[in-house]
Amino acid sequence: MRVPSTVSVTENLNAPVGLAAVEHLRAVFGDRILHEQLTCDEIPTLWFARESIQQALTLVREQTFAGQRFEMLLDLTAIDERVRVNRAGQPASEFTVVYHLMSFSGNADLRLKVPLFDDDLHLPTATFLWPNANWYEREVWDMFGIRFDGHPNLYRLVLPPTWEGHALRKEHPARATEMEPFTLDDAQTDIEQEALKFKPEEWGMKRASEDSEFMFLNLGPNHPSVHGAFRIAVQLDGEILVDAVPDIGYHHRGAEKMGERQSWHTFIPYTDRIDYLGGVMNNLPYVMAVEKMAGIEVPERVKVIRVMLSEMFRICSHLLFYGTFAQDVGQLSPIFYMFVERERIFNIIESICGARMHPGWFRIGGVAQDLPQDWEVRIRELLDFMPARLDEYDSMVLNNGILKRRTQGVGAYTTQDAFDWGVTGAGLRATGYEWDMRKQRPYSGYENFEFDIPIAANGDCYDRCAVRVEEMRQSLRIIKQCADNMPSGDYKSSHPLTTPPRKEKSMQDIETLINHFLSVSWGPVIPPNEVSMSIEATKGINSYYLISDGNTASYRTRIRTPSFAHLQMIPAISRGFMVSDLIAIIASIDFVMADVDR
Amino acid sequence: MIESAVDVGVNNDLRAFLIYGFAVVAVVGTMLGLSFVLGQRKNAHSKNLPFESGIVSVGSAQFHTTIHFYLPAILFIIFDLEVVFLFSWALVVREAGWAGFIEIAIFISVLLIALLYLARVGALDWRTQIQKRELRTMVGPGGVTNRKEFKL
Amino acid sequence: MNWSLESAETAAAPQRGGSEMDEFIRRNVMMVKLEDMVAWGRKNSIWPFNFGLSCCYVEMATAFTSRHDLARFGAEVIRGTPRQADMIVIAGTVFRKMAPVVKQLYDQLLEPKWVISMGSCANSGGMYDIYSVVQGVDKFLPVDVYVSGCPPRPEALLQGLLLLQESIGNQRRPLSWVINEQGIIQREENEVQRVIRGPERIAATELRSPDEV
Repeated sequence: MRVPSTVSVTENLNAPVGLAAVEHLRAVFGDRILHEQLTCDEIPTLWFARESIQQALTLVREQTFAGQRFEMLLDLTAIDERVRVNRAGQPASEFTVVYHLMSFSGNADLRLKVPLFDDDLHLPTATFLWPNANWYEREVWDMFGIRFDGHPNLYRLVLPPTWEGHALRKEHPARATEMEPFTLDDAQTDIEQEALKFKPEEWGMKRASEDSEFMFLNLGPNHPSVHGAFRIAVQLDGEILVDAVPDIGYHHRGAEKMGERQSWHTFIPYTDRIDYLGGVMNNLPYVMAVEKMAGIEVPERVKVIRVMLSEMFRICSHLLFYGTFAQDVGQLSPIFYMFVERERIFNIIESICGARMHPGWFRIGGVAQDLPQDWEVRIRELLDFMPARLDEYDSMVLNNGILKRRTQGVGAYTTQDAFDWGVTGAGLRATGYEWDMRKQRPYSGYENFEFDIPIAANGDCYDRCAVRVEEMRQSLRIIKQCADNMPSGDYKSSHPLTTPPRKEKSMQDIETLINHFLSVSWGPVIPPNEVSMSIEATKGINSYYLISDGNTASYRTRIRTPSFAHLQMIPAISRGFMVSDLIAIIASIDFVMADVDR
Repeated sequence: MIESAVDVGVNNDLRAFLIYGFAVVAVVGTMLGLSFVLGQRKNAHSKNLPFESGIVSVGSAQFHTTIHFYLPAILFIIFDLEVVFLFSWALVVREAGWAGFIEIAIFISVLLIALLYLARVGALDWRTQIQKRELRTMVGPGGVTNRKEFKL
Repeated sequence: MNWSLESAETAAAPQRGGSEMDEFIRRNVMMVKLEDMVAWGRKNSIWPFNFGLSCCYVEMATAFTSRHDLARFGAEVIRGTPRQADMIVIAGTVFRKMAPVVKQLYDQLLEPKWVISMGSCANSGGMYDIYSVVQGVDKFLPVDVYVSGCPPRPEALLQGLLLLQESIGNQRRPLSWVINEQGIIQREENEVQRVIRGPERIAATELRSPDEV
């Protein structure tokens, strides 16, 4: 059983900005900091009372620490602590609101927590400091019932507007079979549709200006251009967009609630389906977070296999983005070419992992099986023909005059806008800021690979597409290095918490067999701790914040997905453009609805 | 003699016209009648609602549009009427001769100058303010700026 | 020289006592009932509706692209509006928030219309037994074909479409609401694939090892 280390917070920090920030907060608040918590990912976690949190956040937002700042609110979430057993040292709390702040210039994180009680569940809003807190706070209201005073429109976000109850509270039923059976007759359809109907007055929109009346249109949940079940209600003046309100929740699968019910091992397939184009790359942050809590060190071969498969899925995801981007702008042919490439890559993935789109192949402590014989052959073929195809697509798509005229200058934003709205990934790199989690905080052996980070200057739709295309080329480079330098060794660690243990050992050794049986049927028992693990996923920074209470299942699984923040930004960058520009902007953001709603 | 020939001619034309009119009515009537009668009648709850991506729509489809659209419409009318005049001249090209040609050339050139004026003054530019501003403030040709050559 | 292409088994031998004209008509002229003709036309040109919810939509889109090409089976044009589509493929999880939208779109599809439920989530809720997911689209829509898989391979969707075509080929619908009795008449019962393919599956004893590519 690994206990949290008793070293103080200052010694665990290795980033000057975090150190300076904590020092400053201690100096200003002194006793008003309720507690400094130790977590196994070494992120400084400070507890504040409700009365001081507004001041603390303002201070962190506006001050410079050691020449650097905390630019982005990465995540805002809550924890229902009522049934939690192992929380020694932490202040008494029934609901805890967690603010996760990130410094890009200083490459550090900071976590602030606020304890709240059920009879008094409200908190001042942070939307004035960070605009992207808007949707995070709406989600916390939706899932927990915590009100944010001063929030401009605190409506439900991911659950239907007619829903009763707050889903992530521990008393809310998890299964659909524990609730009333679902029926939908005509009367019910009418009620639901009426609730979904867009009411402009709720969003501060006028019906008419002095010159003309506005048209309110649903770029609804079923539209070829919105890539999934996503709805934007737009306010149009002729063809010009005056305002837009995105509406999500049509793809909410309750992955966070599912994490509380599934064991650590059986949750892995659910992570696959969070970003359904990312496949195995989605398993990576989850599995790495659990390994961190369990104290498992994976062998080198595992790291390189994981990197290779993640990069192949990155290419698949970017190819689909590329094809649909060209299709939305008007070129109907490139997507057919790109899907052929995807098929070839799926062929390789299927021969290694066994399934095409959702392999679920990573395990806690390693990967499911070793690589098959002759795995290199297909990968070398891929490396042979792929660069020429990418060059061909360049001339077909990126150098096309019409595509350039439709996407250059459209939907541009600056790096400061990106920080304000929580944009990460290629959307941030297109504004000219060179930051990639694989370089800045290397995980799973990325420090041993040689690759570049592409950036662009304007931050418009064209640049985002160009950055992703170049990322594909760099991914090919990484795959080549993996194929050339694959270390030999085990495909799974020998740590007792590896789930499931290596089959050869469990066939010989009764202890391993018992361990195997228990961890697969009941679940591995991970020691109580908290961890937050981020990776550079295909769409941006994907972060898993896991809380273990010493059980076989997670106590709280928080999945911070990149596309959630990206969608919030759409109205801000598309006001004053035309509807066709809105389509190009949506296509260039590269989101996946399962990533947004989880 | 001549009157009866004319009468016969008019009668023939009239008869042809009537037959043609009757055929038109018959064809259209058959099409509408058959589609009314064939197939099944099924009624679903939301069948008659307009399709707006699956959600009920807000506001009606009849509303006051912005005057922005009026300008291209009126410019179109003007140049469309020019084409009407060109058509009527085209029917009598040979009879009008060179004098007619010179006159129509003057007519076209006057309107061409007007078109060039409109293009220069920006009346045909459909872009919004924000689109123009974004295009002006672009940096560089676009695309990746730190591309390095590497050998795969 | 007159020649034609026929397979040896199906080519009918020339009949005794017939003239050349009879032979010519027999080879080149087809006599068929109107309703059979209409059913054949209906089954070979099912136009799907551009509707996708979740991960299965990506596999459905893959089935439309060049490698698997759904268009060869008549699903040529994918329509953006339900008024012009024949079939809706519920590709992906049906969420409670999305259910009234799906119902409205299904209502707006014009007759004749068919529903293919694609993927485990649409068939029965799949692995998502969770508060926000409807446990199967057949809770509120009538489904014609269930395609299983998570996600089903594009080839599985093609098989589902072929089964639907077979089923439609056996359906007869009345010519008009004025004459004929109303309702869809199914000539032959739809067969359960599990029953048909069961013996073949059980007979497979040699399974490929995952250690070879």
